[in-house]
Amino acid sequence: MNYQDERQFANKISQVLNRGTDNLGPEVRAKLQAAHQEALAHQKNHVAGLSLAGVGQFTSDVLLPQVRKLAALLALAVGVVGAYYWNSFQQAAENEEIDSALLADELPINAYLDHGFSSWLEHSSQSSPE
Amino acid sequence: MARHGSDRGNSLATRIELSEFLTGIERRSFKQAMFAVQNEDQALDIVQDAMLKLAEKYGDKPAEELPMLFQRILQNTIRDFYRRQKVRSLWTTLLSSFTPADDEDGDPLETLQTHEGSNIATPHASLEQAQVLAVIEKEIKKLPPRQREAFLMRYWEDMDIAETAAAMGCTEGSVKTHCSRATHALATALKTKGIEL
Repeated sequence: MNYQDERQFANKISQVLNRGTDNLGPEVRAKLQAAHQEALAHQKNHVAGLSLAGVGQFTSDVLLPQVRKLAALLALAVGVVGAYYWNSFQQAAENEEIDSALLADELPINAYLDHGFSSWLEHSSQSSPE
Repeated sequence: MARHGSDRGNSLATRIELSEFLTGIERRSFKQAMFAVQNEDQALDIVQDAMLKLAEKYGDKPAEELPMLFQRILQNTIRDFYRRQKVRSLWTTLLSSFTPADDEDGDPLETLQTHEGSNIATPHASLEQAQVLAVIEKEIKKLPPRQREAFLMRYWEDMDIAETAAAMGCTEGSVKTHCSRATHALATALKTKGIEL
């Protein structure tokens, strides 16, 4: 049985089953009707959008979610940029301290304990013309 | 077969649309529940629960989503019934070993007079139709639940494969397999009984 045959057979079964729904007793029909009415009485209404018409509904349904997303992205971007600048300011302040100490020849003892610093000093004094 | 979609795109179901949908679906859903639980009162309770849940929780959904949502709710309600029934039957089995079993092996044609006879106005054709209906309904009851669900949603409710898969919470491939198996099982059963549609 290929798909076409299957479909055809199933349609015939459905037709027979439809006839079965006509044979329901009056009591069952009445109960189904009562259930139907009760369900309708409890239908959930779409409260959020219906109270606002036109621009208001458009704002609440379409714009607000977009604005929320944009605000979140903006806050994230501001945070990243702020952190970057904060770090660079800190670095600059440290460098400034070292530079001024070098110029004033008031280097702290810790600077001489730093191997990196002494090799840099050596290297820079060798590379300088005098 | 009926299709309950709305031509109004994604607009929300109005009271009239919901009412029309329920009118179209109520008898078939009752039969579906009957195939599953085989008890009129329980089937009515299931349909009532399903309708109420649909209206209360999804009454504001677009009309074209209602068939899938309703089928999902209906099948879940039937499954809840099975679960409760399992617990109940455990106690019943413990209390009595003489619980009457479902009349699986009985021939529906034998019980036809008491089952359908009262509504039939004698002509031979009507009787024959009623007999065929009784056999088909019995064979549908015998199908494994998932096959029955898939077959009825896909072909009786005329839902497409994607909708059926969404309602059953399975893949589209599974829906196709269930439908194909159910169709073959029904075809074989009818052939064995010498019924040709």
